[in-house]
Amino acid sequence: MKLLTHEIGSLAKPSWRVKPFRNIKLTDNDIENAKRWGEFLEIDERNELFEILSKRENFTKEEKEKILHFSSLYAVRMLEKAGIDLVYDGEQHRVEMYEYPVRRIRGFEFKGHVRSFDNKYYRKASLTSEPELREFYHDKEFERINSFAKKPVKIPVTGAYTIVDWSYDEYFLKDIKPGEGNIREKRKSARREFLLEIARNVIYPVLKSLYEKGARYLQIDEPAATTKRDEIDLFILTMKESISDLKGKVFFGTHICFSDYFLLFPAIEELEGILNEIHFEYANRDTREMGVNSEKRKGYEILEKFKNNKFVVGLGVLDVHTDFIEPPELIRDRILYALDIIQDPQRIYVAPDCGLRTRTWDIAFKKLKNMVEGKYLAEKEAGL
Amino acid sequence: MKIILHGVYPRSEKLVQATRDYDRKRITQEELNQVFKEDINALRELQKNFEYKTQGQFYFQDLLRPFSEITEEVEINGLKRFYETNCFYRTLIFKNFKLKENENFFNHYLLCDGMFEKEEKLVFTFPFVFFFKEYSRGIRVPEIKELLLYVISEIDKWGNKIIVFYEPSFGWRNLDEDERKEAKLFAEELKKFKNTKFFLHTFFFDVEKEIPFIFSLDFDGYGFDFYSNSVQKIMQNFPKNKFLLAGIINTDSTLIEKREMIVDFIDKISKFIDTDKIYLCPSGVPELLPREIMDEKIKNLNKIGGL
Repeated sequence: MKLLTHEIGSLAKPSWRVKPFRNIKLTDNDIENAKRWGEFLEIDERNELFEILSKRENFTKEEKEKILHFSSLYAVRMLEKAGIDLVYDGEQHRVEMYEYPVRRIRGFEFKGHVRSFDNKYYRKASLTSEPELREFYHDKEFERINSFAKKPVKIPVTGAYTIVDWSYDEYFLKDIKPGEGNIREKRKSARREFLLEIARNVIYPVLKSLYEKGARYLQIDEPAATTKRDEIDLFILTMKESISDLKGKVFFGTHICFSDYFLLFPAIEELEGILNEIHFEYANRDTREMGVNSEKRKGYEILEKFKNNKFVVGLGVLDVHTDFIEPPELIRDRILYALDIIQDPQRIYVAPDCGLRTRTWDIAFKKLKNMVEGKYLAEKEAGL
Repeated sequence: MKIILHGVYPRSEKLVQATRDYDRKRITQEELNQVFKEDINALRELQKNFEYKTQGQFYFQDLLRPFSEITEEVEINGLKRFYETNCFYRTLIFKNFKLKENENFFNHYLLCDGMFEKEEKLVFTFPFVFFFKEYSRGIRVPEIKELLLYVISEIDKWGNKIIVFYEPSFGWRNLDEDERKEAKLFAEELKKFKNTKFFLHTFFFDVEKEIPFIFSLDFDGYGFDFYSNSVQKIMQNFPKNKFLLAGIINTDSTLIEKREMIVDFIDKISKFIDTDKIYLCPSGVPELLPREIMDEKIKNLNKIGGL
């Protein structure tokens, strides 16, 4: 029995992918970067890309489409070269995980920037009319990646709860009056309607269409899942409605990060049999010391909650917020510690904590390669 | 009706872009400062008929961070979710708490490098003790009090100020008896400052169970989020002669408040309190909304409130 590895969503977009879409002239460095990675990843058709990029600016629509195709291909090949079992293209087709889907749902209007922290801002939209899916917004991406991937493809889809939580609501909340009796109950009821509408009429059709196109691994991203403590029930409901009759047909995982995971238990156990995998970030809270005891593996405390259920544990073993390259032995120990608690290697999928988009490709590749090496060491040590 | 703005006000789209450009070394510090000034001046203009004005606290990275500049050995640590929002604070880790004099705190963060005079009628917002504790480590409540009192004693010398303490912890977590005692002592200590009015503003959560305790803290006024609480429950035992910060500008929604809704609210609330004791204000943190929306809400309320 072998352990399975996968990535979690995003990778950085190469400068030669970003600049043409912003109408910025490519530099020698950008082209050199494309060449270096193209050769390293042994991209067969890379000369075609180099020829397009040599133009440096004023790319046509068709050329931009080709550049997008190549950045997707490069990202998939990078993961394959690192030895990852389930692959994706690191969001090369998307702006990011919120704005991309929201721009494809009728009823949302972007209202401006809101501070996340320090000088970091995100653009926030408001629901102003009944939401309606404009297009199956991940189909083309899946078909393209699936056409060249040598390994099974996993597509991340931003979940309904996160889309709703990161948006304003002018539509379902329009009749709320300040100071009225039972105002919190009324707001929660409006929130429920908003969530169900997005789950049933946006996320479910998107997932279903991906299934019909052949996708068999889907990851529902819900970083906002634990934001509001009295809405865990709504998050669970939303997940059920999003997956609905697709349960059992697709391997469904959810990715939640940088949250208080204890808030999810025991409620999330209601999703057994619907959701296959639950992936959390662990390495970010862990020590960098070797060892397989709870003192060294501080970040993995929540694993105890998986002892008595059947979920696959998506095990984050790479801290995505640092350039520190986790040595394979550290990754091995993190896996062995999890194996000791979960007991069943089939229930552990090894992955980074989150998307690696804030790391350079050089760093991301080294981290991922070590992750795979660490997995082999763990398999050997555990006699798998 | 009086209107008051508190907290960190949202930055304009132009300033958001300028801070990005500055971080990426595309513009100079001087050019960035110019955009800050434009934002501050625009906010001053928006409040031209207000009795007390905020300067927007635009230089605050968050409500705690400037305090790291008036203490020794503070580490600015990782991100922690700001209550139940999608915004984050950096936790302050105090290694060895000791006050440090730094005029920059007052001149830059509070008076915006000379854009405001000490004598002006201004509103400043600071974190109350439980909020401060939630986003810091290595500092005890008595030390938080010492830090806040140091700042307040300086501001009180300027005269004519309102200090709003934010405290979202009410209704969010259980406060133990010792913490409550400390909070009470702190409120008592504030009474010695004669030139400043102190308001305690709660938001985000249902604070019904905490109302007796909140009203037992001897502040000049209390603020409530009326999108999380009903008028009836808050106002039935509202203490006489205290001010009310009525959180009616919904900071959780981009919807501009309707005239009839505000008029209806004022009708309801004025059964419990004289209208001259009411300040209409944002229900929570203004910077949870984009600048353009927040400005529009203030203009709208100003128009309706002026009736």
